[in-house]
Amino acid sequence: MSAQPTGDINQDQPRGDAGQDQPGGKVRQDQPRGDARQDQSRGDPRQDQSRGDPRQEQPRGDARREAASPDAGWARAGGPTPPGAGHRALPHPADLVVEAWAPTLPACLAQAVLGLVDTFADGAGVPASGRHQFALPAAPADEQLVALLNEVIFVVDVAAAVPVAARVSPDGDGGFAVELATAPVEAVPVVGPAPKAVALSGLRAEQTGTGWVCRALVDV
Amino acid sequence: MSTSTVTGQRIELVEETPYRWRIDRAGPMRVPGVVFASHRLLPELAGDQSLAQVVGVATLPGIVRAAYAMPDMHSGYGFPIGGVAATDIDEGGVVSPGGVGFDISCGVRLLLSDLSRADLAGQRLNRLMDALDRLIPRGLGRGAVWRLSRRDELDALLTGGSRYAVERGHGEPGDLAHCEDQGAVADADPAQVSERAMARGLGQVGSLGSGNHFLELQVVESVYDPALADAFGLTRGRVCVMIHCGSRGLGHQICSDHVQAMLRAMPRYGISVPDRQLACAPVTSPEGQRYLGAMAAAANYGRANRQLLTAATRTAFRRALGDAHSRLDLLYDVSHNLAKIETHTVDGRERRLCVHRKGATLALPPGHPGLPADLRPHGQPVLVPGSMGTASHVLAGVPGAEAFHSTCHGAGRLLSRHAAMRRIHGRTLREQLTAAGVAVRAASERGLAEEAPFAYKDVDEVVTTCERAGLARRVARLVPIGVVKG
Repeated sequence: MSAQPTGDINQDQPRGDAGQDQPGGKVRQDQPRGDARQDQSRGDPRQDQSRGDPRQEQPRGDARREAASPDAGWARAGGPTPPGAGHRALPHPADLVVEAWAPTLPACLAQAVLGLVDTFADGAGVPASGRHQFALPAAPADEQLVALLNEVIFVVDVAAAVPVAARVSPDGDGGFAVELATAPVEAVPVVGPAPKAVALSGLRAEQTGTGWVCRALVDV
Repeated sequence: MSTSTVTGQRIELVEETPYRWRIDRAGPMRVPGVVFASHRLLPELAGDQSLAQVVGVATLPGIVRAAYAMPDMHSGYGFPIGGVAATDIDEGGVVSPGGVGFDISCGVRLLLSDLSRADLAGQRLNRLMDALDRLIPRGLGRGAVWRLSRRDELDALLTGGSRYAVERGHGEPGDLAHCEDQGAVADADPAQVSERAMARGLGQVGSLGSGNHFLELQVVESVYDPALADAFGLTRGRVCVMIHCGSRGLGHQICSDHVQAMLRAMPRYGISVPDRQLACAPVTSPEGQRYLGAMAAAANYGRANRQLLTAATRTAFRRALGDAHSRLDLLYDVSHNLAKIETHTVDGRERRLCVHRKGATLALPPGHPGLPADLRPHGQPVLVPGSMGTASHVLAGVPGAEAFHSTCHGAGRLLSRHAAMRRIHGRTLREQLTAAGVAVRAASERGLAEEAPFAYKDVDEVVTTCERAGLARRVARLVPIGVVKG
């Protein structure tokens, strides 16, 4: 299956305009951009989490439970995360594994978007200036996960736009409406190789006792 | 006999020679597995999925002789990276997009300058590196040498490959003779390339990308076979340029699209596979033919991509060093992710095979009609990029190589990107490379750390194993003096 665009890739919107009513932009307001952020991302790469590494026990998301998102349904890069939700990158001999978890499938899919973006860009505090909307038709959850991540890769590759926030909403018919708030690639510190494709080996999107877990192997 | 246990599955490797190991047929395997590895390289396979992936490949319909693994093998998706599998087209043999890989026609070209290392003394090397830094697009969203604006231009490129690029002024006619397939794969069918793939391809013609792709200035350091080195123009001290990249987003999208199409089609053909990334269809089926048409188009894109970067490299040489030193002759351009329709003798009779090489390089022997006249007596140059800052090699194809004229494609990854980053910071690595006389122009320091030399196997051991296993002959060893990467 593939995602079905419901809105154009809107990379040309002026910064600080349309972005004002988007979640990435709101977070940005009290976090002035500074070069220091770039230095932090180099010195403490979040992707440096792996099995056997103590840092793996503090995956992104769970450590940020303290604040609920003021933007209903939006998951933001670097933003607060609902309890029981999060994402992380795991090592693979050649490429990357993105893992996400959340109490519900749509929340888990939104975390997967942030997990994928985290592998190559530090979108924390970067204002959104564009929006990309599309539909994920009803399908098995793992197919929806692949379609979603492929859409993110497509947006990055074609529009040079980096999602800094994602909202995944049920469409009432087994599918989802997806909104990505994006920033131009030149506005986002690049911290890793760009993702190019999602492999089907080891793909996972399944319900557990406590919610949903998604896992995908990403070619870079 | 040595054994290796992979994720709970016990896989026995039978030592046939110190460089050739067999995995006997068992269960659904249609052929045995054959792993070319030295005793030193073998333990490095135990920690990943690659041996289990060799077993999985051996189950593909129509596979003949063996599922082969090169000495640089490591874990991929479905297929191992460093895998070779040939299927008999006339006996239901399949083609699998996963057997080619996402980066269709990812490959290497080597350009020979008329400079020696001494010609780049003082600030001349830095001047050249600065020019390359400005002219070689790489990394995320950094554009391309040639931004196509129209679909018909991209159609022409997908059909014409390097040939189209040269016709449009991006290169010299002499560049084509030393390209695999003279720069363009036949039977490319742009109609089988989706709109999404086209959209990804329009803005990336002439760009390195990121990951392990690079452009390096190298110097011929050692010569193993003086006669072959002389025939290839690889004199000690000569400055060369190695370009390693592929078909960018377009190739990846084609792989994704056609894996999905084949997954849907497999039940119709009664095919099941142990890993969805091994999705496949008979070569002669509509799905197989559509993939091969799209794959050929991506292969042409990959070759044109390297051609555009060649043109940009010449411009950099001219700007930094003047017209007198801008000459760069192409030694060879060869893919290491591709499926090709080839004729080989198997079990005493000639057969039409679909040979998948995923992270494995074609290595045509002396006398092969696929080689240009000046290289035919010597065999095909095989370009093996090593890990950043260590060494790369030029090998030559040899007669009687077992794995359908295939050999290794690089050092082969040993550590994950995460593990590499945990061991060294990009800035430290840059300082170490600079201290070792290697000028670095990288888009990101993290990208440098991920490609640290210790993240890869010992490329010298890999190529020596290839030689001793009878897959290729070593010709020369090249060391980097400048690295340009995403």
